[in-house]
Order: sequence, then structure tokens, then C-alpha cells
Amino acid sequence: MVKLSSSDGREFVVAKEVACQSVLIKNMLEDLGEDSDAPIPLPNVSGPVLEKVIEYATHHKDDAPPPPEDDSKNITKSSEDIEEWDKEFINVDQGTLFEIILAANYLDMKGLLDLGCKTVANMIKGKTVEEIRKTFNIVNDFTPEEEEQIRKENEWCEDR
Amino acid sequence: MDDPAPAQSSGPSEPPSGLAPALDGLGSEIERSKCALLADSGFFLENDIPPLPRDLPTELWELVFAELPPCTLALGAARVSRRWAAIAARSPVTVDVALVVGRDEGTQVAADARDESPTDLQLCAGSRTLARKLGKLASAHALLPALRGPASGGRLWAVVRADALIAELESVRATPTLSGSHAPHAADPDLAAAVLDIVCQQACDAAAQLTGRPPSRVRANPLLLVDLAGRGAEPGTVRTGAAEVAAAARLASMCTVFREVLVRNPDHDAVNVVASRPTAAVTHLELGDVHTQVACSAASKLPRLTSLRLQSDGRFLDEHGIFHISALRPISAMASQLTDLTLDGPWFQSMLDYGPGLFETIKQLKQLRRFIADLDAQVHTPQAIYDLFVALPHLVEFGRLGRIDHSFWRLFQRGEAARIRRVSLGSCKFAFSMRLSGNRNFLADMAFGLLWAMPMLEELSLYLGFQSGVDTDLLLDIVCRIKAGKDWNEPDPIDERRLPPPPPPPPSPAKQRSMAQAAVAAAYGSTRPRRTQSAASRAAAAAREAAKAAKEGKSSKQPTQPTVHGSLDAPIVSQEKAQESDQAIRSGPLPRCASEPVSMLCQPDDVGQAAPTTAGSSGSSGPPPQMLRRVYIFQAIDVESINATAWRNAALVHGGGPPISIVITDDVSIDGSLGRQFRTFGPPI
Repeated sequence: MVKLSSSDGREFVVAKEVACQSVLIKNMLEDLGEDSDAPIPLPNVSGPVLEKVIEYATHHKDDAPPPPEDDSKNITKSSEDIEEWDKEFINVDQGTLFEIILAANYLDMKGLLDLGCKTVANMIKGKTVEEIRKTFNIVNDFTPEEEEQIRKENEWCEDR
Repeated sequence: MDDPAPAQSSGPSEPPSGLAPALDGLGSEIERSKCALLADSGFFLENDIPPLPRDLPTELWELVFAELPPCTLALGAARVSRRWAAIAARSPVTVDVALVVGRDEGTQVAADARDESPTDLQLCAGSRTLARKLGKLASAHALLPALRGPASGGRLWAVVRADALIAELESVRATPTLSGSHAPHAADPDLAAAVLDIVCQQACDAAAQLTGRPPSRVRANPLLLVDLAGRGAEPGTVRTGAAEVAAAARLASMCTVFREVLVRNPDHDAVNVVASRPTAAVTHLELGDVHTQVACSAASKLPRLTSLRLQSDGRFLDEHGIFHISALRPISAMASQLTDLTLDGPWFQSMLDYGPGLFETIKQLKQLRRFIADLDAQVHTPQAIYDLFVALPHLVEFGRLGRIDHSFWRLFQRGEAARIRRVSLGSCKFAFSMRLSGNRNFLADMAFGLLWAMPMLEELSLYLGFQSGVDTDLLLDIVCRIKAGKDWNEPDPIDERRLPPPPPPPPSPAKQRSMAQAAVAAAYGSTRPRRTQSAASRAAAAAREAAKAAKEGKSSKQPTQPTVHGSLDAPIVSQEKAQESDQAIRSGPLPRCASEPVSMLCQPDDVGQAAPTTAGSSGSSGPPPQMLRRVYIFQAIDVESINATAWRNAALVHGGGPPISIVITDDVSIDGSLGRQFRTFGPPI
């Protein structure tokens, strides 16, 4: 078993195979040694987010390891390819979603990072520019000249 | 122990006290505001400063943008803000590389392609442009999966004819070396990998030039199109001989590196060839122009196969002209992996020897998320289609449902279809016929059915089957209604038909008095004109029955025959002369009058499934969320003369909520291309 300590001081005890889905934790365990009982500090992950991350890792602990970069470089996965459980898991508010992505990036968990990025991408797809701004609370700071320039640069994909 | 278990929450090491929390909160708010301002100004791109806490850093946004189709990236994300534009410009784009491999005759087809000289590589963006350009090329191109639906637009395609390249590589490898040994056989996987590398590099370079990105920022997604039928080949031509064997070996080797494979005019062993290598990487397999029995048993040997499409126009070389279902039954072995199954063509109508048997096979594919076939309620019965649907618990895209009406929609009383996100209605196999419109209430029932049974619908594809008699105004009205969502306080079209005709205007006060007198007199036995006596006596009898029921202790909630206000049959009693009548009536509850039409609102069932009307039936929760985003209308012959202003208004303004994309096309095919005449309204697809 491995003890994990979140940024707000909460401690979680999880199975090693679950914890080792994070490359960061795996490396830390290797550095600390097998018989270390000291909790692993995760100062960039809050308790609630760490709880979600552990939930994800627990569910996917038996998954096959991700393919190496070379094998997957020509494989484009559709952002629609999200399992039902993952969809339900990631169905959280936007703030939590961003925090999960940040935690996945920090903990070096590729599967969870991919899931978060796909979910955000799906939030962008099919929306107009105005809707995207509204969804992510972004202010349009383009000048008219810049907008025209952007339009010209991306003219290649407009319907003609 | 697998579950996360917070052991002991020791809390923060130094809990703040006094004003510290407030000050900390204020400080973080200030920091947050500051970061937000900097983020929007594009400051983070040039300076290594952490972004605001609830935003993502640039490198993670790049990962997000990498999941977007190139056109979404260019037309959407890049136009949001300066920061997003900068990130979008740096994000990699994916180019789908369609490698077309065929026999020599196949190459010649491209060379003869009308007014264009053959090109080795063509880049196309978006489905519409792609459709237009590829329409001038060989027919095999028309089977590109990219053209299956306009929704697949937004992708960047590179179509490459690689026959010459492969032939050249083969000849080089077949040349004896100085040591006397020959190079590996043409079917060597190395050759496939070499072809793939060359073609993908070529496509990436071209895409980089088009999009203005460095080649390192362009990724290739290879797709293989195998055109087994050459020019002039008859459907199902049997191909034997060295050339065919070599082609099969080439195909098998290619399948070890390509994930999507399309085989046009496959022969009996095409699937066996594709699956002959255990290292086959195919996830999507299409068999286009099926004209002979194709053994699908080997499909289960493709470990990664999740999507299967079979397309045919129904012409068979088989002596009986039928496709034996025994060839398709083995797909049930892929029950745990197949998520997408498409049967384009008259499979259930004229191709299969036993269509219901295939229903049973498909019911075993429990992981299916998308199932498309020409289903006909008049042929299969609504119940059979319903049973098929409920047997597939993960299905979110369903179609094409031909000739359905309220008898079909009413089957979904437990909200089973609430999971449907995309649906296609109509049936394109009946092009040039009016069979779809045989039910004059098809469209009205469709509007009601979609709103009632599929409240979470995001995409609607409607195949009109070239009906010259389609009322486009009615069609517009229905699209508007679906977009606006259902107001459950309004009567439904089906219910309106079930109810009696609308009541006449109320009678004058003098008429009311005379009718009331007649009612009172009739209740106590009198000789009055027969017409009024009949109405009044029925009302009095109903009142007496109700009173009797109350006396016997029966609940007043017993179902009663609804009556309609204002009907000639309803009792109308004036205030001053109805005392005696009132006395009689007060002794028991009144028969319930239908204050509003009886609607098909359903309730949550025992197992707790959400009824489709829960979003809007309560009345207090406001209108249901508008989920509809795209409407495609295919095979509409009246494309040019439609009221563009009204359709545009329907797409952008009507009903409030987010705008929707509407495409109306005269397309004759089933691949979702836009045809020769089309109109689009609303946001780009």
C-alpha cells in the first residue's frame, strides 16, 4: 500500500498498482525504496481532485499499458471514442475538469490526460466562436484588422 | 484495497486564523484577476508565468487543440481570442491520408477523369469541397468514409493514388542484386511501411504548405482504399491469377499498417485476405459495392476492428440473387468489440434470404453505439424495430427508420430512446417513390415523436426520397418546432387528431337559458325537443352515476370519459335556473371534463427510468434544454426555390437557444455528400 498526501493535507492509502499508474509516483517510489512508509507529498493536487484521480486509476488499474510513442504516432484517436464509464467519470464542472487535467499532467497519467483533453475538445466542437467564448469565459480581444487577418490565414478550410 | 480511503485527514499543517483566510482569499482573487487579464492578452505565450488557476497552461491547450479537426481549429478556436489564435497556430493538425490502391485499370480510371488531369495527391478540406473535388475522380473515391455524412466535415484529406509508386518500389525490389539474391517479395510488410512513409510524408508536406504550419506540426492518419474492380469490370468479377494473388498479398501487407481499409467490389475471400495477418491494425473495414457472397467469418480475427460497413446496390451474381445470411452471422463473434455497423443498400428488402435472422444476429452485438440500415416499419413492423433498439443498450445513433408513424413512437413509453443523439429517418431505397409519404402524418408524427421519445437528440438526418409533393413550408415549421423544443402544455398533433373536432363558438345567452331549461327538465322527466333531451339526459345520467359511485365509496379518481368544453353534448347550465340541477349534481362528484387534451405524457416506470417528458412536463422547470445542433435534409428536390430567409431564421433565431446547422441537399446517394444543389444555413458544419 502507498500513502499519498494531497495539498490540503489529506492522506489517501491506495494499492501500489493503483498509485503506480502515475509515472511521477512510480518514479518517486523507486527513488524512496519499497519499504518507505512516508506519505508521498503531492503539493499540486488538492484532496477532492486526488480522490477523483484515484477513482480513475482504480477503475483502469487492469488496463493494458499505453503503446509507446512510436507506435501511436500515426494513430489518430477520435475524441468521440470515450468509454461510458469515463464519460460518466469526467462529467464534472469546468473548474474540476481543468483541475483534473492539471493533476493528470502533473502526475504524468497519460490516459487521464487524454480523457480530459478529449472532453474539453468535445466542448469546443460544434460551437460557434461566440459560444466558445461564452463557455470558457473568454473576451474577444481581436481588433477588426486582426480578425480579418485570421480569417485570411484560415481561408483554406472555408466552404467554397 | 482499491477504493480511495482517506486515512486520517490531518488537515493543513498551519491552519490560518483570524483575518488570514480573508486576506488569503482576497489575494488569490487579485491573482486570479491579474492572471485572467494576462492570459487574454496573450502574455503567457511570451512569458513563462503560470496562468490563472482555473485555466489551462498553453501546452495543455495545445493538447486539447490537437483533438480538434483542422477546420474546427481554424474556423473556431483560432478566432476566439489572441491567445487561442496563437495556440491554434502552434497546434498540430491531422491530415487524413487516403491511399488509393487498385489494379492498372483502376489507375486508368483516374487518368480519364473528365476535365482534370490525374494528380498524385489532392488536398481537400471539409466534406463539401471534398465531395465536389472527388466527384470528378474515380468512383471508388465516392466511397470514402469522409463522405458518409456532412458531420464528418472539418477534416483535412489528402487523396493519393499510389499505384505508380508501389509498382516502382516493387520493380526496384524485384531487381536482382549483385549477390544474386532478390529483394523481398512485393508483399513484404517493409514495402507497405515504405509506401506508407513516403505517402504520408508527401501528404504532410502538402498539408503543411496549405495550412502554413511546419511539417513537424502535421500528423498523418492513413486510410487505405483498395479498388479491386477495374474499369469495365462487371460486378463480382471473379479474379484469379497471379495478378490477383499479388494484389491480395499486397492488400494483406498494407493492412498491417493501415487502420481504415475500404475494399471496393470485394470477392468472396476479401475479408479473409484483410485478416490474414495477425498483426493487422484495421479498426474500420468497409466493403463497398458488394456484388457477391463475402465470407465475414474472418472479421473476428481482426483484433482491433470496431467498425464495419457493408454497401451494395443489391445486384448479385448469385444464381438466386440473394445474400445468404450465413455469411453475416459470424459477426456475432465480434459482440464485445464491434461498436459501429452500417448496412447500406436494400439488405433487408431484397438482398438477404432471411432478414429477421439478421435482426437476431445484430441483437447480440451489445456494444453497438451506431447502427445504420434501411429499416422499414411497414416491412419489419414497428415492434420488431423497437425490439432491436432496446436489445442494444449502448446505441446512440440509429437509422434509417422508414415509414414510421405514431404507432412506432408510442412504443417508447419508458424513455428508452432518450439516449439517442443522432437519428436518421426516411428511407433512401425508395427514391423516386412516394412510399415515404404514404402516411400523410409522417412529418407531423415525426416532430412529435422526436420531441417526445428522443428529447436529447443532437442531429437529425431526414431522407425525403425525392418526394415532389413535400410541403417545404411544413418541413420548415417542423424543424422550427423541433428546434424550439416541446411545450408540453400545448396539444400534440396526434392528440389533436384523436380528439373531436374543435367546438363551435359558445351560444348566445338566450340560447344558453333555453338549453339549461331543457337540461333541468330532462333530468326530471319532461317532453322536450329530442336533440336537447338527448344531451341533457346523458349529462344527468352521468351525474347520477357519479353520485351513485360516490355513495358506494368508489374513488373519484376513477377514469371517466372525458368531455370537451363547449361541445354540443356538454351540459350548459345558467346560473339562475340551475338550482335544482345543482342540487342533484352536488350529491356526487362531477364527471371530469377534459380541461386540456389528453396527451401521451408518460411517467417514470418502476425501474426508475427517466421518462422522456420529465424535462418539460412538470411545467415549473421551464422549457427543456435545446439539444438539437444539426439538421440534414437529403434528397429534397426543391432546393433552389426554398424560402432562404425563413430557413436562415429557423437556424439562427427561432426558439432562442444556440443556433443550429441546417443542410438541404438534393443528394441521391446515401453517403451524406451534398449533391449538386444544396443550401446551408446556420453555423458551418
